[in-house]
Amino acid sequence: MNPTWAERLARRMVGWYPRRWRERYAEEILEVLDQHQVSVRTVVNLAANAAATRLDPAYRPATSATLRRFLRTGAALLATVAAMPAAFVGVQLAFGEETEFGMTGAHGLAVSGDGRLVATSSGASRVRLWNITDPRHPMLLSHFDAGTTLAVSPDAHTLAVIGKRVTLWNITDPTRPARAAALPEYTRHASAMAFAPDSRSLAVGYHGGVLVYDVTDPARPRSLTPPPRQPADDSSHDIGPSQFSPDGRLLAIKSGGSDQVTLWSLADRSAPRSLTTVVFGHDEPPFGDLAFSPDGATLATATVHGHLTLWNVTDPASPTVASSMDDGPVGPAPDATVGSVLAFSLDGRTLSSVLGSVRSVRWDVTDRTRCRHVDDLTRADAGPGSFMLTPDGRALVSAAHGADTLHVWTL
Amino acid sequence: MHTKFDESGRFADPSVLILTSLAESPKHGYAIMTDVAEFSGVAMEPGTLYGALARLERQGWITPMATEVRRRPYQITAAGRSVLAQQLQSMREIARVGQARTRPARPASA
Repeated sequence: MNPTWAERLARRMVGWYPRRWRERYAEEILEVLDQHQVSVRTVVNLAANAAATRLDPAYRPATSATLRRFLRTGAALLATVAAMPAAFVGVQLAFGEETEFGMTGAHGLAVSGDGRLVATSSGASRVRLWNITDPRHPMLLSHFDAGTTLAVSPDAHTLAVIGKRVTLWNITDPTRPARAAALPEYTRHASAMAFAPDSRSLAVGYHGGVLVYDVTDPARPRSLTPPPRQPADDSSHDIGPSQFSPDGRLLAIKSGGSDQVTLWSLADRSAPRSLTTVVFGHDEPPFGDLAFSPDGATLATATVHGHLTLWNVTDPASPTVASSMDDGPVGPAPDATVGSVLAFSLDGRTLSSVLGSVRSVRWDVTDRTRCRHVDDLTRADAGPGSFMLTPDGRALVSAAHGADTLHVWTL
Repeated sequence: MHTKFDESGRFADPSVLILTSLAESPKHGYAIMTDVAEFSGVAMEPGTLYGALARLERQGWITPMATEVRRRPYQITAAGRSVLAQQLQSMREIARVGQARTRPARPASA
């Protein structure tokens, strides 16, 4: 059910509380708003409390900024009242975190299994956790320094970050992330990570191999695989997106350098076995993506130019092409900042493919051998940045380079 | 039986209502709201609730417990209990005086 305008406005009001207050209480108050009968009174009450909290010295970062912040609150309130009819057709909202960090690009992006929690990384190592329950109003919950490449466990309890090595964070309470453990030093060579569907295993991919950790208790990760014999520290061999099959027995890892995917058998978690490698495109740049269907029988791959292939992986040692589609040129030539992302709907009948963060194409893939084009949406460009689809394919999350903001589009 | 007060018509301080609710058992935000509505008839809004919760927590009168699936229960501290007892005592005093003064007035003697 779609939220009413009052519910949306109420959530937006939570965004006006000072950052320090939000980091502590936003998640809880959003949960209360989920259950509460939200009325105009709720919205006015939140606005008044947000304004009062902004004036509270306990939540004020610096006295010099007080007046500016106060004026901004007032201006924002006025602007909302003035723009009420327009406020809900806008597609993006960026929170003003304008004073705190150097504006460097966003690198990493990860979404929880329920599509409510997003982790982004930017700059050298700044990680941020966001609540996107209301996709129009992403809510910053916390931030900390950890690294750049990210993976969120499907149950949203654990975050894995590749920094100087892989670290695990307990994010059960995303407003208070806590470092739980660090994996061995050699994991600094890792360039891809994926959590198993049950959130109990973490696969760490590096050029030429896979390490598997039992992370049932993120504070006590257990290495299931032996250390790599000769770790490659050549970062030009970065490997790309990786994903477990829904039954957790297969791991698909896209390798860098070209659009190819290697399937690993994780039937025995302590002995990952490379089964096969298939090439799915020759487009440049090789920034394609992959996705397993919910039944695990199909692997979809897409190149940066929208060349889509459905692979029958019933026998993962010898995948066959079920169908292949081309949806033509995407418009502006892709450059090094774009890519392609893919996700199946939960019922496995629809495949969403997003190209270069500007164009979203949906396919009816009920019949894996005869895919039907459903619709094609071209949106305002979010600008270069990282982007990905929520696991149900219903929303596109984009963390723009050059700004510490998050954009969410519902598809 | 309660008359339903909205917040503009309330007389009780939200802090007293919250402490009273938590004096019974620890509760998360929404449970506090429903409990308060039930025993006092005051329909508290989330903004007021969290404004008061944040203040009470800073004063050390309540303390947050571990989050359970996005909900965080709060419990009253010993200091919170004693502050609540003092507040209630003073309210009793006000109630006593107020009741005495609102009794039908006798004809004024000249």
